[in-house]
Amino acid sequence: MRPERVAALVARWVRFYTRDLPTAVARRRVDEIDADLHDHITHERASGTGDRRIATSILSRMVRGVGADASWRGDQLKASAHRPETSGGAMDTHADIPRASSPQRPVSVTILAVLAALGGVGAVLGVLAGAFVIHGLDSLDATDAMIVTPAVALAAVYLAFAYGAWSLRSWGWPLGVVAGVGSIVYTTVVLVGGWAELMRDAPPLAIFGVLVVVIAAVGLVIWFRPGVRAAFERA
Amino acid sequence: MPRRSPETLLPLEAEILDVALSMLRSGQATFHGFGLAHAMRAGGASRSLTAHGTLYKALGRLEEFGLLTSRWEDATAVEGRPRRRLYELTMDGARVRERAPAAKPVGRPRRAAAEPA
Repeated sequence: MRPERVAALVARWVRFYTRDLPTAVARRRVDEIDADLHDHITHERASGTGDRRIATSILSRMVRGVGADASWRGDQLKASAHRPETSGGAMDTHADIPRASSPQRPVSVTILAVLAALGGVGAVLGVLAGAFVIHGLDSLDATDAMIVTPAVALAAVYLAFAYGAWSLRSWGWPLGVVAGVGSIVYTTVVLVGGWAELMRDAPPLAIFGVLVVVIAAVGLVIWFRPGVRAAFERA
Repeated sequence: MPRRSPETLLPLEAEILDVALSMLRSGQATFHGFGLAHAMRAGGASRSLTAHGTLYKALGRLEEFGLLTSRWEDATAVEGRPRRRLYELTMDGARVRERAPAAKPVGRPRRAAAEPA
């Protein structure tokens, strides 16, 4: 009994139980099992295992998994009944399995989205308080405008990022990079330029500024983890 | 039946995450289906490779939960064989597995065999 013949039998079984499933789903399962079968035969032969034993092993893996195959097919049929066909065709080599449920937002993304929302709201309130209450619009000069304008822009980026991250929009990830880098650059410039003044007039603000830089830096490290990026790509 | 949460793992799913975490710690960030089945046979009590249906259903479930992520390997880098689906443990997967108690093999663990190419 040659392993290749048993592998062909398994491949026919896979094509049978993936019939009528969405093309991308069926294609992925067929291709994955094909690769598995090839790897199985290649590895076992390289290890010196006889053909009969390899063939038996392949057949055993197929038979023992028939129940799971049927159950998986049932799940995919139910899922595809609730969504339209999204595949570009049987030969769409880059299609992923259409998701049966809404994407999972990693906890780290949730935390960063909340922090960004709070930061954005806080920045807007701070600018409004400074411009209208503390200083008054009439007393704002060019220097103040150079500080306030980027703060307003950054606040807008924070709020947009908070929304994009929370709802796992595809643009949420790159906007997160912009928000993180923007925070670090802007806050560092403000702190370096006005450290003495801040420490004299408003030490808590100076400390808060340092905290913003630290949080933004840590946030960027988390942001570039594969799992975070994958969450936005899957959504 | 209520949907399972990502933190509630079946024994096979826990074992997959264990092996994935162990591979990651030894420097192997990605793995494929047969490689995983081989590693599970080498490290567990069973003399058989995990069944196709059982293995790929569990992998799909773990990916749905966000505990694994996957992609096709670069087709141009593949010569003379079908391209593999490469899986990778996510941060959430590592966190969930590290929190949960270790999956125990049913019998005596076997000596690890050589990794498939």
